[in-house]
Amino acid sequence: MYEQVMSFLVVLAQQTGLAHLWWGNLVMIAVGAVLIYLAISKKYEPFLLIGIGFACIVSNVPGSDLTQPGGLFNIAYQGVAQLIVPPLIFLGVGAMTDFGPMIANPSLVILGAAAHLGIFVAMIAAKAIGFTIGEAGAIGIIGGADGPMAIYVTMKLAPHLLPQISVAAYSYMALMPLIQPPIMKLLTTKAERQIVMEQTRFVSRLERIVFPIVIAVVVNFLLPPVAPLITMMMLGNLFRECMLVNRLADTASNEIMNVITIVLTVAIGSTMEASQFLNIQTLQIILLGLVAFVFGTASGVVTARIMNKISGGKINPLVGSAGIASVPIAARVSHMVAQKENPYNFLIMHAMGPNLAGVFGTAISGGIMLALLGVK
Amino acid sequence: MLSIIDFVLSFIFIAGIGVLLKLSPLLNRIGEVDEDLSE
Repeated sequence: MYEQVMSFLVVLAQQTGLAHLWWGNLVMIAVGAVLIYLAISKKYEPFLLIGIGFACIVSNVPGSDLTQPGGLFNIAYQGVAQLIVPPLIFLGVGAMTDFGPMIANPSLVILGAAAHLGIFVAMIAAKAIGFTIGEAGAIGIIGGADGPMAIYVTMKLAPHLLPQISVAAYSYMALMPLIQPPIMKLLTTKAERQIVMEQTRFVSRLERIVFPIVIAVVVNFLLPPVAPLITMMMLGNLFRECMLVNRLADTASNEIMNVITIVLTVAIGSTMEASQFLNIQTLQIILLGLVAFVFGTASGVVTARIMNKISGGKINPLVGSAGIASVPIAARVSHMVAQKENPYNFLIMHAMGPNLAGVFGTAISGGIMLALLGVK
Repeated sequence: MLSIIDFVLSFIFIAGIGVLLKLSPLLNRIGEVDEDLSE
């Protein structure tokens, strides 16, 4: 009788998560808790880090049904893996975005390409330390500071690296106000940082309506691998700019974005299981992500300095670092650094031009990479 | 090599978008849409 009871208790115990817990799970549960702390206490990207942190904790409790096939977190991951989630995020982004600053100042658009040098430096470094070309490409895209694009390219080139790359991409986006300013100050003079740029021109409603249609057609013609993302962004933008379907624009930018954000964050967090995450590759990816951001910021600022010299002192080089795609964080950082030099310098609208161009820059870099690697 | 090609091509693409945007004020000569519109 006693032995029977004991054997039942042993079988019961073996079915619990506790029986399969190892120290790695405890480390990742702590990581999840830190992400939630950063989100709530320090207000770093709470919309993303709360869901990611929570799902990270749950996925490191062995046997959690949510992360097993058929579980809700697993189904959410399928939405990411099937590339349904990133285009829907871009629909919302397009519906929320005013491309006026980019349309008004076409010459600054080039900064959206210049600030992506970091992608290629990280890619070369990743290849040099032993990652495959596909993995290196996915790691490089962290430098584009565009979360959905990083997920999209990673799922196509190196889906097994999704947890590390997505966490690195979103974490560095949140840390941009810490990473970028020292580099921006190092590469510019005080006089350059104080440059006040001319007011941008008025952009008509006709231009704003034609813009998304033309860009959608051009991208579908020339860069099919990333056409889904840009097309959905342009659809959302058209909803916004035609000003006749405000309900659709509001739904895309609010309800859909909110639902997809929940799905995305739990999907990413659910992949942060200890056995996948706790390895030397993760550390390498995190360091390479930092390299990508540093080089991207530097190359954007240097290019803007060159443009400033050519234009006869009309361009504040601080807008160069905004060419990194993280909208509007990078533009806000440029504005903040400029205001420290001159409180009356409102650089944000000028910085939004390259910042928005950076979204296209990341998409174009990713699309060309996918095309060159023969991935559809 | 792939990185260099990608970087150069991305500049060319973005410059192409810049050229298209430079032409966008011409649209205002072709037509006009009501600036103030509400549902």
